[in-house]
Amino acid sequence: MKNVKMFTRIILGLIASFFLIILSVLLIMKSTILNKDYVIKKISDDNYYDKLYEEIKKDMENNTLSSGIDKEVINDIYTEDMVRDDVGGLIGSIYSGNKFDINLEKIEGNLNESIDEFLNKNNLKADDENALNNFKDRIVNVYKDEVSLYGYFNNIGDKYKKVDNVCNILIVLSIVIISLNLFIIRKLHKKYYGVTFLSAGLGLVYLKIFIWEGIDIKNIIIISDSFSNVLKNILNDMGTKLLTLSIIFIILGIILNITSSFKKIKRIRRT
Amino acid sequence: MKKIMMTLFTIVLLFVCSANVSAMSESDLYAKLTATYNINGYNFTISAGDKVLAKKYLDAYEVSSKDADYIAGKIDEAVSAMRNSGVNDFSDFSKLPKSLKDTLRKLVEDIAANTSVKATVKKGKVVIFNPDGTVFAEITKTVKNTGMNMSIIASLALVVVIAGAIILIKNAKVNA
Amino acid sequence: MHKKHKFSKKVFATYVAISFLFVSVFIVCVYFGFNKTIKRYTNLINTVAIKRSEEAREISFDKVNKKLEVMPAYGDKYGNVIIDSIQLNLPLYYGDNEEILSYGIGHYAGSYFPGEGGSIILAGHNDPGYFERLSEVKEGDKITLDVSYGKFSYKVQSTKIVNENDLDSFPISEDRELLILYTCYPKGIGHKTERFVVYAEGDES
Repeated sequence: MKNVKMFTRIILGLIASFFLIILSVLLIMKSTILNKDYVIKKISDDNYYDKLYEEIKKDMENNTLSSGIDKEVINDIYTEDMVRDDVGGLIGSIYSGNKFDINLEKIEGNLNESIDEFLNKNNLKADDENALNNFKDRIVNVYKDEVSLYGYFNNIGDKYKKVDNVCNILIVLSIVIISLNLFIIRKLHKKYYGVTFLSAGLGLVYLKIFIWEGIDIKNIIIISDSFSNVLKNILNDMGTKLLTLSIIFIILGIILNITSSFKKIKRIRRT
Repeated sequence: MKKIMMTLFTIVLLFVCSANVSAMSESDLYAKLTATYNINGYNFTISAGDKVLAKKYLDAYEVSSKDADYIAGKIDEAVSAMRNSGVNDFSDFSKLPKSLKDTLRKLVEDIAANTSVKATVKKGKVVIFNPDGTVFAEITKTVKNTGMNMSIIASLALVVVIAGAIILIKNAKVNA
Repeated sequence: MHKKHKFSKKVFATYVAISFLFVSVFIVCVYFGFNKTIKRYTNLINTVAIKRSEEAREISFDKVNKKLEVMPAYGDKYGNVIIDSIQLNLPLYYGDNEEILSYGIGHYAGSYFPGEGGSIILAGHNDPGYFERLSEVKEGDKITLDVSYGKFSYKVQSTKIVNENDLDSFPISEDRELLILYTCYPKGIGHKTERFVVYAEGDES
């Protein structure tokens, strides 16, 4: 009977510890990469809009070469606020599942005005309308491509919904199982609370060291430099949270194990 | 004893022969990368420029037979998947059937995950790196559908498999 | 009768040991259950994790086999383009993306290097400071590519105006050292779809 009790405690403890690890990882994901406000804050803290604004400007300037049109025409055809709004809209569309189309009308209008002003100022005339339209399309597409990460925002959006749904199901399942262990079967399992937390903490350390550290986060380069920096910062932040939580669980586990290690001693008073 | 030795010798000989039959050299791999593939009436081949790039890379860096076989296998899988899809209009990658797109994407990921590939996608272009961290090349319009130039999106499927294939390295000849 | 509690080291050690046992089971399950998946995704992420180097490569040319043993990195300056007839002396870069073309003359990476015996394709904008005067080049003019591993001279054979999509006008030959320079044509407002192309061959003189 004693053996059955011990065996049951071990199994329950193992299950609780596994699901505590899973729940921790999922909660970290839900509070970071799967959280719209977090991502927008990270982007803002990383000066992403400013960097993106400059990247767009540089690309537009490069595209003015061989056009006979001075690069000054691209000055002020778009603003950092427009970049912020469009990026915000695209990020919002990932998390809401609604489509967001970048409105290029304002930029096109500003560009047209700017080109007309340039041509008039310099007494020039566009002899080939197709060539001029080519130029305008190129400039406007630079903005669209850079802001939308060359269409990759759409890919991210598709994947997000699937990942989020799976996360939600697993979170609910984990909470139910852990609750059963910690609260409902507590009489059987109470002494193993410390074990559950300590092993969960050590498990998270394993995940951090052997999986997270296996990724060369600091050298990631994809889509653009500004996007890569944001991605690196988010991944590093997730790793830090993982480590912090693991330390909390280890300390909690040790404390609970200590409290569970006190044995009752009956002392008979001599009369 | 003699019988056992003969049997062992035969086994070893068979192994060596079969290894030679399936082992692919760099020049074989180059031929495979630069071949013209007829897929449902469309002739796919990488552009002359990218053939030069493939040659430059294979000259600079060694590819083991095992890895050459792996890459060749992935190219065959990609061609086979495109042929079996029944699609006869490859002009717009985004309009290909989802199952085909998924298959091709997985093949690209296989090469990336199972070889020493260092490549990324930056500003809509595939960027391939040298082992020393400098850029080897940027690939844009890579596949030419004979008679019609295809955009990078349309050709991405077959091309990235090939582009991914040419950056496989094991022992760099340079900067060693 | 008093009840006292005494800390049992043995019990504490047992709990810690069980914790390590649980972690070991977890690690084994993760390793055998998910190792392939984890490895695949970490490899995929590491594919795009590249320790970049901006150091210039030491270019070396094999004169016997007529081949570059060490090529410049894409984006590196590796020489100059000199056309005396139009007072042109511009930096030559390996690669021809938009950023590189803003610095100087771009060398199409899918073509050969000077001295290798194949086609060399160079591009430049038609703006001042680039190939602005390329259309003034005539048959017989001398073009020099002064690169880090030597000087190579070419004589202009012909010029042509072609459509940007006419790939046959940019032949990539592996056994004929044909230097092809091109720029947008004509000058004017907007992005033109024609190219002014100069063809030159090795000048032994």
